[in-house]
Order: sequence, then structure tokens, then C-alpha cells
Amino acid sequence: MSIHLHREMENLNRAALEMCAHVEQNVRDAARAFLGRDWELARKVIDADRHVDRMEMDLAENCLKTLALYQPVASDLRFIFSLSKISGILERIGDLAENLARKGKSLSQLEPVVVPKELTDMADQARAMLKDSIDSFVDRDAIKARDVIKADGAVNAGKRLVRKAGEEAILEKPAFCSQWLIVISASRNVERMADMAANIATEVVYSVEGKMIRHGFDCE
Amino acid sequence: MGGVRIHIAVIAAVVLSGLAAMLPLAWSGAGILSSFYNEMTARELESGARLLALALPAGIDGKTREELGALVRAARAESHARYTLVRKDGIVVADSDEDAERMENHLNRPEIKAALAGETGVGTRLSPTLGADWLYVATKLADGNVIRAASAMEGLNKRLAQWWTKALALVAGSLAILLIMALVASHLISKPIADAAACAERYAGGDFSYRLPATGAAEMRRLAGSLNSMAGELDARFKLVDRQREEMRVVFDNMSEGVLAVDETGRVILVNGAARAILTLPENAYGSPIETLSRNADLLDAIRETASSDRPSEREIRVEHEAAREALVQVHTARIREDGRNAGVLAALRDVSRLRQLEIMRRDFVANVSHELRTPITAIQGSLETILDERPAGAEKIAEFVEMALRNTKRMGAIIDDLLFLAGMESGLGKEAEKVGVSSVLPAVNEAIVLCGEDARSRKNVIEVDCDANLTAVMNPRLVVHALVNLLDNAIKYGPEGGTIAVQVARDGDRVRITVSDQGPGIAPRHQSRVFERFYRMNGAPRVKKGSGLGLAIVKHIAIAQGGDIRLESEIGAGSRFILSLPGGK
Repeated sequence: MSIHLHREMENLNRAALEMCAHVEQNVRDAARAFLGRDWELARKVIDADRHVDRMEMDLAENCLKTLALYQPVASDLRFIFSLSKISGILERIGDLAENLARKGKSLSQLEPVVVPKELTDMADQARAMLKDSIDSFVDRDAIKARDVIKADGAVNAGKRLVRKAGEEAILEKPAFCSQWLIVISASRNVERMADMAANIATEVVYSVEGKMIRHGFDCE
Repeated sequence: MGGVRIHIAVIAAVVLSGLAAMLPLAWSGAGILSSFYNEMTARELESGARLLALALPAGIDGKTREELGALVRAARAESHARYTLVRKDGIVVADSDEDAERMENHLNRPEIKAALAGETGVGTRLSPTLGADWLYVATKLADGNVIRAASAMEGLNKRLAQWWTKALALVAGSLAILLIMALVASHLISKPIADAAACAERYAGGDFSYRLPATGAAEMRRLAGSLNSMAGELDARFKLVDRQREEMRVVFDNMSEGVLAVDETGRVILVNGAARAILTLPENAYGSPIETLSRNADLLDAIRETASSDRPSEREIRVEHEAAREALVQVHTARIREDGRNAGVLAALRDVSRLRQLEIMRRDFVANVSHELRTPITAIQGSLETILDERPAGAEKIAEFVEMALRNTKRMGAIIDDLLFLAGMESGLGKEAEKVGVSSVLPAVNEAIVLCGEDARSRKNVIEVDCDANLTAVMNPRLVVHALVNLLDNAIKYGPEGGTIAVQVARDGDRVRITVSDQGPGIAPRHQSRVFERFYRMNGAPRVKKGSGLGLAIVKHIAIAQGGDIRLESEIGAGSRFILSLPGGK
């Protein structure tokens, strides 16, 4: 196969990994800023998201260019196609991190409440899922990717727990209503991130095995 | 491997030069032979012709053809020549071998022409009548007619064939001898060269132990000598380079600073053990793009920015190790330049987490000391100012304020005593000034319990002791009592009223472990590593007025001063266990 295509694919892969690094960091910092009431860090995450957006645009364009120039087939085609989709998903995760950071910024301006442990756990789980999905992409490991998809259920359960805790807290102390509304919507944010990580894992399975397992369809 | 082999070159040269010398020799010999033969034959024919001319003193005119025919045939019988008599007008009148009547006019024959002109005519050609090479010699008779003698050249051709056969056989024989000599000579030349080449190939392959034997021609001995000394020198230099490289590698791999270098395409070209540990890189990182190894955005940014800038940069990045642990890493990056072009980026990494932690501890310590000393001073100042400003009536009132001032003075004194004690322990005075030796553990435990007895009784605590009287440890009993008093004091202060405190002393291998367990609220994991810091207070812990905030720090230093250590096992709601471990006696 053409050497140029493979060199181009390696460059795409590296650009995607660099984007992964930034998105992972933004998610980590956003969670830290939200849970630690760190206004400065939240602002940093919001600024950093522009960089991620820029990377996504470059990557998508380079994917298209490669497709048009080299017209790859079989696994090369699947790889580039998945890469282009993953970059889109990563960009959305970056946006969610930015949203979480904005909520953290608002929360840090209000009187502090004790954030439920479930939300901290959710954030950890979502981050682990993101990390594992990217690892599975780096290692082309479909088994790990399937594990990520399975882990999504726990985060969904966490969201329900946070919602319940929030409702109880509001009933108990309506004065802290705005804080708790932010916490509940943050939990939805985190849950969306976990969904996106699972989507990345789905793309990895497709890229490696050539099987579409979206929307609950699985050839297994 | 192009080029002609020495064997072939030498043999070709010898054979060609042999042929070049011998063939012209044979050729010229053949030439001399044939010209000599021709000359001799011509002379013989001429004398034959002249002799026959003597038999015809009056010429041929007037003689019949029959007479003349008989004469030439008689002459033919006496010599090996053919005789022909030709008239002036070219008509043959008699021939010894042929019928003269049938022979054509001979006026055009060169030898006849020459004879008619008065010379002796000689000619060599194919005889049309007899079909062979013939030599003709003609001479003029007295009456102007011509007599011609001729001889076939068969004899010459036969001799020449013999000559060539012999000459070629001789040439072939000497060529064979030359060939053998050429083979020997070329072998003598090419063998040492092939040996030297094989030897040089071994050296090129890194085997410097081989030595070329110095034999054969003087030039070859010299070549062998220089090859051998070159091998020795190369061997020594390679060993030096290897050793230096190995030294560099050991230094590089074991230095505490991490070093990571990538080339201009972002692939790792250099990484040492420290860098691998700091960034949790896999073992075989060489050659992989840095993005596939580390997904630390700050690190990637640092490398990318330095690659396109001339200025070295410095920054601190966070590196996540396991889920919870995070290291603060100082990264210095600089561009690598090679022949004036960009050849990659070099990064030096240093884990500064501990340094930062120590800085925080020192800052906290200063703040805490000031705070701890400020509190009693405020109280003393307040009491004294009250006395001065309000001048309370009655000695009892005054005594109350003075007592408050005194109590706080004592507290300050206690804090300063503890600080001095700690400073002394830290500067090594604790170990130097007081002797450490083998002594029983039980008396020290009992003394500590007696010293804490009053406080324990006031909180209705029971202190249980489990200690073998024969247990000994290498320790300074006074210091151990001090440490135990601090531990018991904490257990009493933080434990529930009426609770049980257990002191258990047991041997653990070559160490003695003194465990003080309480039934207090326990200490959360995140505080556990910090409770031994000076003035460290847990958020939310009941603030006990009494202590100086230095008790556990003192215990830790006492343990270290005697070669022991202190550990904490605790769980929220399940009490705490402080384990003081000391070197056992004998």
C-alpha cells in the first residue's frame, strides 16, 4: 500500500491523540474545578476549549483530505472514518467539560453545599471511561472498548442517585435550591460525558472489528 | 565484486607475451627457410640450364624437334629438372615432360621475357600444364633462343609443413611450462592478498583477536605487521568507547532527573529510567511518537512550543499516576540543534511534589507557631489589661486574672519547651546527649502510665497493659516514656469518657512493637499521613485546649532518634492504633 497514505494516517492518529490529551485534561480540570470550587481553574478550562475546537476542525479537514487524495479501502478506510467521528465526539466531550466548568464557576460564587459523594464517584467513573476508551483506541483493543460500553450503566445509576439526593436536600433546605439545581444539571453533564466515552468505544469496535454495535445492535 | 582475478591476469600476460615472442620467430624462420630453398633451387636450375646449353653450342636452329626432344629428355633423366626449349618467337620446340606441339606460345611468360632481354629469368607460378607450384629459370642460348629449366616446389611445401609442426609443438610445450610457472607465481601473489582481505573483513566484523601470520614476501610481512598493529589499536579504542558509553548509560539511567528527547518528528530518541517513572512510560518507548506514549496535554504543549521557539522553557505540569496520586513535575525543555537545523526537543523532568509539600509544611508551621503563641499572649495581655484598666476591687478578682495570665504563660512555656525539645531531637542532641542502650520495656510503660494516671482517672479511663517483663529493646527509657506519655495523653483526650486504652508490647522479628489503641472517633485516611506534622489539626476534630499541637511530632522524632518508627492504623468510628516500633534487645 502507498507509503504516503500510511504516513498520513500516522499523522492523523497523532493529531487525534494530542486532541485526546487535551480533552482528558479539560475533563479532569473541569471536574476538579467543579468539585473544588476553583474559579480560576474553571476559567482556564473554558479558555482551553477553544483550542480543542480548533484541533477538531483541523483533524476533520485532514481526514477528508486523506480520503480524497488516497482513496483508502478496507481497514484503512474504516480507521480514517472512525477517526473523523471520534474527533467529533471528543469535541462534544470538550464542550461538556466547558459546560461543567461554567457550572463550577457559578457554584463557586454561591454559598457552599456539600456535594454528594455520588457525583464525585460519577466524575471518577466518567473520567476512567474516557481514559479507557482512548486507551482502547490507542491499542486497537476491542475487548477493552466493550468493557467501556458496559461501564456506562453505573454512571447512569449515579445520575439517578444524585438527582434523588438533590431533591431531598431541596425539600429539606429550599434556601440552597440554586446550588442543588446546578449539582443535578452537572450530574447530567457528567453522564453525557460517559455516554460520549461509550460512543468512542463503539467507534473503536467498528474500526477494529468492522462491526457496528450502535443502538444496541451487536453481532455477537 | 568486479575486476579480473589475479590468476587470470597473470596467466593471460605470460601466455600472450610467450606467444608474442615465439610466433614471429617461427614465422621469420619459415620465411628464411623458403627463401633459402628458392635461392638454392633457382641456382641449381640455372646451372642445369647452362650445362644443357653447352650441349647445344650452335643453338637449336637446324636441329629437328626429335633431336631436341631426345636431348631434353636425356637431361631430365640425369637431373631433377624439367627442361623446355623455346624459340625466339615463343613457340615451344621441345619439352622434357610434355608434348611440345600441344603447348601454347610462351612469349608472355615473365622468365622467357627476361631471358630474351639477356638476363636470367626467374618465375614462380602455377603451371597450367602440370597443375602445381613451379619455379622456372630461363636463359638465352647462343643463337638467341631460350632454354628453360623448371622444378616443382613440393619439396619446399613439405619442409615448411615439417617446420611449422615442430615449431608449434615447441611453442605449445614452452607455453605449458610458462602456464605452470604463471599459476605458481599468481598463487604466490594472490594468496597473501586474499588472507589480508579475509583478516580485514574479520576486523570490520568486530573480531580484533585475529592476528595475520607474518610470512612470505617482505611486502606481505610489512602488510601483516601494519594490519596487526591497526587491529590492536582499534581494539583498544573500541573498548575505551564502549566503556565510556557504558559509564554514560549508567549515569544517565540512574540519575534522579528524568531526561526525555524527541526528534523533529516527535519520536522518542532518548529516555532514561527516571523519566519513565515520572511519566509512567512503557519500557520500549524508543522510536514511538510521544503522543502515543503520554497523553499529558501540558507535556505535549511544552514540547510543541519549544520545537518552534529558540528559547528554552520551564513549567510545572501535573502528571496523574494512579487514580488518586498526582505528581507535580518541573519540566525544562530546550530545542536540540544539529548543524544549524532543528533536530528535536530535549526535556529534563524533576518530580517536585515532595519539595512543594515540604514548602507547604514549612509555611503552615510558621503560621501555626505564630498562631499557637499568639493565642496565650492575647489571653495574658487581656488579663493584664483588665487589671490595669478596670482595677478590679478585691484581691480575689485580681488573683483570678493573674491566674489566667499564669496559666497561659505556662501553656506558652510548654509550647516553647516542646519546640526546643523537637529542635534538639532534630539537631541530633537527643541521640548524642542521652545514652541509648538495652533496657526492659515494661518499667518504661509503667512509668508512663503512672504519669498519665491522674488524667485517666479524671476521664474514668482504664489503661490495660499487655507486656512481657523480659522484653528488652535498644532504647533510651526517658525518651520512650516521653513518647508513651504523649500517645496516652492523646488517647485519653480524644477517647470517650470511661473508655479503655490498651497498651500492648510484642516482639516482631528483631523489633519490639508498642501499640497504643484507643476507642476514639478515628482518623480519616487523608489526615493519616499528616497527623505527625507539627501543629497539624484535622478539620472538624474537637479542638482540645490543652495540647501544644506538637505531641505526635515529638513521638515521631523520638522514634526516629532511636532507630525506630511510628505508624498509625485507624478507621473512622473504629478508634486509632499508634504503633511505635523500636529495635529489639538481643
